[in-house]
Amino acid sequence: MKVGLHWVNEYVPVDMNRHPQELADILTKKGIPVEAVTTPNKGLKKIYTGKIVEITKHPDADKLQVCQVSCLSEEGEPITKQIITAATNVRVGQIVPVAYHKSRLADGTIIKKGKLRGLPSEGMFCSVDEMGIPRELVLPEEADGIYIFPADTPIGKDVKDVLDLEDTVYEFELTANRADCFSVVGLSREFAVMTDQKASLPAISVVESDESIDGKLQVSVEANDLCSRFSTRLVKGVKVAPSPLWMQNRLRHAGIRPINNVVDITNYVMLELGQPMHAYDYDHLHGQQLTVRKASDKEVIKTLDDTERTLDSDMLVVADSDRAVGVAGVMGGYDSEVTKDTTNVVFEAAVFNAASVRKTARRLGLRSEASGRFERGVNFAFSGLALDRAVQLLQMICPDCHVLTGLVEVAPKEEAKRIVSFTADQINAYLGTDIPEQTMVDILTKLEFIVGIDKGTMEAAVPSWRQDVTGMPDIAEEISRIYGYDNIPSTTPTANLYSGSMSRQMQMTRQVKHALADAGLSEIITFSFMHTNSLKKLLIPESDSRYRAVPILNPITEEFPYMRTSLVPGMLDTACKNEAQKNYDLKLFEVASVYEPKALPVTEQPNEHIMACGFLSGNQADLQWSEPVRSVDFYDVKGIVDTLLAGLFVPTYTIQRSQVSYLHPGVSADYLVDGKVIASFGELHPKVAKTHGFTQKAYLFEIDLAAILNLPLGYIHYQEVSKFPGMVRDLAIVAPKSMSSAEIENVIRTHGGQYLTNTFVFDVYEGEHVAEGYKSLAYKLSFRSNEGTLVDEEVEGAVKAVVDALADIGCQLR
Amino acid sequence: MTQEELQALQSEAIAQVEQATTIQAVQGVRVTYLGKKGKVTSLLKGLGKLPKEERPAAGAKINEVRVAVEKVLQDKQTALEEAALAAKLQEEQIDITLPGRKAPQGHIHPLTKVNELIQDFFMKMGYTVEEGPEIETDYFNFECLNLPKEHPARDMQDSFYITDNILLRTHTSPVQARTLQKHEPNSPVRMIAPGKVYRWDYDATHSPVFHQVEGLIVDKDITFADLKGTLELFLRHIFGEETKLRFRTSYFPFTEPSAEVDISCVMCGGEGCRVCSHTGWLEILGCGMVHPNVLKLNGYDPDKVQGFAFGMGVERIAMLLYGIGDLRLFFEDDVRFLQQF
Repeated sequence: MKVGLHWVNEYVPVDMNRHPQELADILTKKGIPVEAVTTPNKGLKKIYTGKIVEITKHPDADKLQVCQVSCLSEEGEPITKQIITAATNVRVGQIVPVAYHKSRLADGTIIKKGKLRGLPSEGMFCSVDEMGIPRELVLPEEADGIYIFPADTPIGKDVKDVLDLEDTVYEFELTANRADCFSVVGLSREFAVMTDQKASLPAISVVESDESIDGKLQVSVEANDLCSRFSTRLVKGVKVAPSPLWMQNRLRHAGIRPINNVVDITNYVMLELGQPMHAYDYDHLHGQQLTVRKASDKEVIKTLDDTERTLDSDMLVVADSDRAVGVAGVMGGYDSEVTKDTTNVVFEAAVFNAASVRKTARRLGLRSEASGRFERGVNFAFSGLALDRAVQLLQMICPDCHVLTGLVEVAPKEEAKRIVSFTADQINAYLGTDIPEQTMVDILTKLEFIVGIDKGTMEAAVPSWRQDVTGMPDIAEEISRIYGYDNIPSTTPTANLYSGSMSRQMQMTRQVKHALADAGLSEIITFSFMHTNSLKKLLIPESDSRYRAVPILNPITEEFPYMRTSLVPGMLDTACKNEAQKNYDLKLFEVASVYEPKALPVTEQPNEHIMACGFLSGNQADLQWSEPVRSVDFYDVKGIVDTLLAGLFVPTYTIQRSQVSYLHPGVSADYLVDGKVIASFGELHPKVAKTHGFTQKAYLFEIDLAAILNLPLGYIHYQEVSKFPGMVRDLAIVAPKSMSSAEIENVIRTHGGQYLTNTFVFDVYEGEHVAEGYKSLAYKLSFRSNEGTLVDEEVEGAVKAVVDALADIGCQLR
Repeated sequence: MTQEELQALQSEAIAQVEQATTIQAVQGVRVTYLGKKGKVTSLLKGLGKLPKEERPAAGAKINEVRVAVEKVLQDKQTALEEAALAAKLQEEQIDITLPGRKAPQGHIHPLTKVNELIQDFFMKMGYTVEEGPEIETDYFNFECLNLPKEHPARDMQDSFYITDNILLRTHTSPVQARTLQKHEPNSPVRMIAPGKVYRWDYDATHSPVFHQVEGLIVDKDITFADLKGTLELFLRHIFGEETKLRFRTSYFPFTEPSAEVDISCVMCGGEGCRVCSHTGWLEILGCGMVHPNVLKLNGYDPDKVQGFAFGMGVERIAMLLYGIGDLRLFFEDDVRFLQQF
């Protein structure tokens, strides 16, 4: 909602000397947010109205005309100026804007007198562009060529005054509850409260003719649940013409294009009182009747904007005896619109159901000033007033017309005023304040509530325009916003003590993020969307459940039509973008949900499944002067996963070669608990690496945090530390190359006896001194007893048993 | 041996000590004079040849020489050792300006960092941290929050739809409704709910995916003044003790009265700058007293309990806290950005 302060000033005095931003700030703080304070004045200087009294052809230029213009000198003396113009729309008798010598146009150009093909020109005529008036706010025929003022415009006037360009325009960003403020009158009330004044409504009176409306127009409402009031008036003998400048100026400041006097009046009244209106050409209404009814399915109507629209049976229309003549509350019909040939006009002021208008407007993709107001709720009590205001304005502008006596309407009885009861204590207990009862009464009275007090209980009758006030909290808001939020004390809740906490999933998520960051990885956050093409790029077979993704009905771009079922595409995309920025040493992770539909098409909320995903490529560590750098490899990734799982107390898991399509089959692994994969990791499949454009080896891991969350809770249980010394033995073994370290370790553990506490591989070697097809592995075995100091024989016995068992599987001591 | 001879012996020994320049040489002097067959040692051994009554006096004199030589020897040795150590330390000096070996250092995303700041503050205040689904029903996302179908305020939140009744949540507020419904009616609730939210808006200043934190407290005597006090504590905790707050009347369907909260500009302190569009204030969150309809719709009785709720954008707070000028940086995940946190 935009409005010029000059208009507001008509209903409540506005202190124009005060900086307009100051008042805007007050309004904003009290819940009437002013988004912008502007002025239509684009810095024009020395542009005055003048009348063209003579036009002759330029003797030396075909396209130029020499105009004699009657105007006033800057001192106010009548003078004639010679202006040479190339414009084709100038005629003798027109009043036009004349830019004088040293004048300034909207774009900053300074106009000076000069000579055009030998003849002096003392300035120039202006178009709307040159005066800084937006083209979309004037009639199409006014947009090009010289702007022509109405014939009754006095000469010698500054165009800034004639076009009211020095007004201040407030652009409001109103909240949905304040339907009343979508009108100049409503805003004036707020201005009045903020500045401790009282706003006055426009004085409305209608002079009716002898002719009665009875029998001239029939009105009925079929869908009475969707239309609570439908009122009309009929005016005859109307001369359709441009509306006066003062009205055009106000409409323009409000961002509405002037069309003609009748249409402008409907818009003017809507802006003024908040009641949307429509005007029909009476002679184009078949059967002289208007009915509010549901549209029939696929009913077609051509709307004012010259567009055919197909309706459905949920939509409400206004129809004459043959066809729809308007989409109720949204836009009028083309066939019955008021044109320059119209002489008899029907004005309509109605109250349509907010939800119905909203739905229709949205479905047709047609939001209008009218529909916006209906959606928020129109003041029932104002419809009759609006109708009277419209005919009053028409009589003012077009004195020859006559208004038929009476209204034709379908209207229920006046609604009883809403009463809200409350006590001052209730309000203070709600706000945590100590506001005296009288202060509350004063504030509400200023807001035009009618307040009565009976034994400490206040009863406030709500003004008809404040449909949003229904209960005590609404009253509390009214009182507190005017009292001032700043004047409310700051306290903290005195309720019982509680212990703060978070769910296990959130704790785990936080732990995982920090563990991975401690391991040198950086967290990324990517969008939750994906395209299934990205799964194809990962070589995932089409039978895979990840293709069964949740589709979004209205995706933001065609690149992201689904909710993601994997974190990998987003991760690889991020890695690629970083490589493109020459960030090569990447260690990234993301912890986020993937979305798994329970059924397709979706009928219920999908599962949200929390996962962790990581990516490593490039150097294992930062370049350091003191040691050689190496690239990350499989064991770096494995170590990260191992450390993370240990931190989460994941109980024993088994390892197997991974089947994941986008991992290198020889350099990848899965971890399983009870046969279910909880983690997969390894080198990115060379094919996938290539199609993604990676220039170096890359490693991925995926951890199913949701699955881990479902495992029995791990915990810390202290193991007593032995008081006795332990013994350590190293074993170097030559084993067949294909034998896994796990297999050897397993034999060592099985045969190492009761005192073997730990064993681990500390060297792996292939090459010189080891036979082809074999590898050498070195293990450290630790022995210790809780009962006493071990003797050599006990340990030697255990080592011998291990060596013998290893020999059985083809491993020899080195 | 005469007194003079003893003196001469002592002087001779000390002179030799003084000439010694190595620890080995000092050892040599020690052997010469104080060793088993050393000159002083021999004198002591020869005492037996003296008459019994002279022995104590002669012994004492020889011993004086021994002690004096011993002291000089010891001092010399210590001095030489110190010098050797000093030389060794000098020798071992390294270039302390070479960089140290870095432990691996990863980084937590700034949005997570801010989220944790917020969560930790409210957990200490006794709030529980709750979660809810990102793919939400119309019922929880709108209806339970006093936003019935066709409510004009739904326009403030353009949604991504999955079906007519399932959508990507447009705010974290549905967790309010879920938490209230999970509780015994009218029992106290103190919760915050962080999480991803979605709106159909994608340009330089809007991301279709972003993060919010919702807060809700419901109990017997919770007031608007408590809301003010709580948010003051919170925002000063995040932005510093000198932060000023401004509460502006606003409208949300789920609260009444409602307020938008501004903080004094973190860049200029309220003087007016580009970041605050020369107003001195920055919009930071929305809040209000829980609307009685919201309590009712979720099984609570507004005549028995009341409370406040608030909601904030994590991106907004992170941008102000770290001076990040472009929202898109959060989701581009360039490591040169991530490494700064």
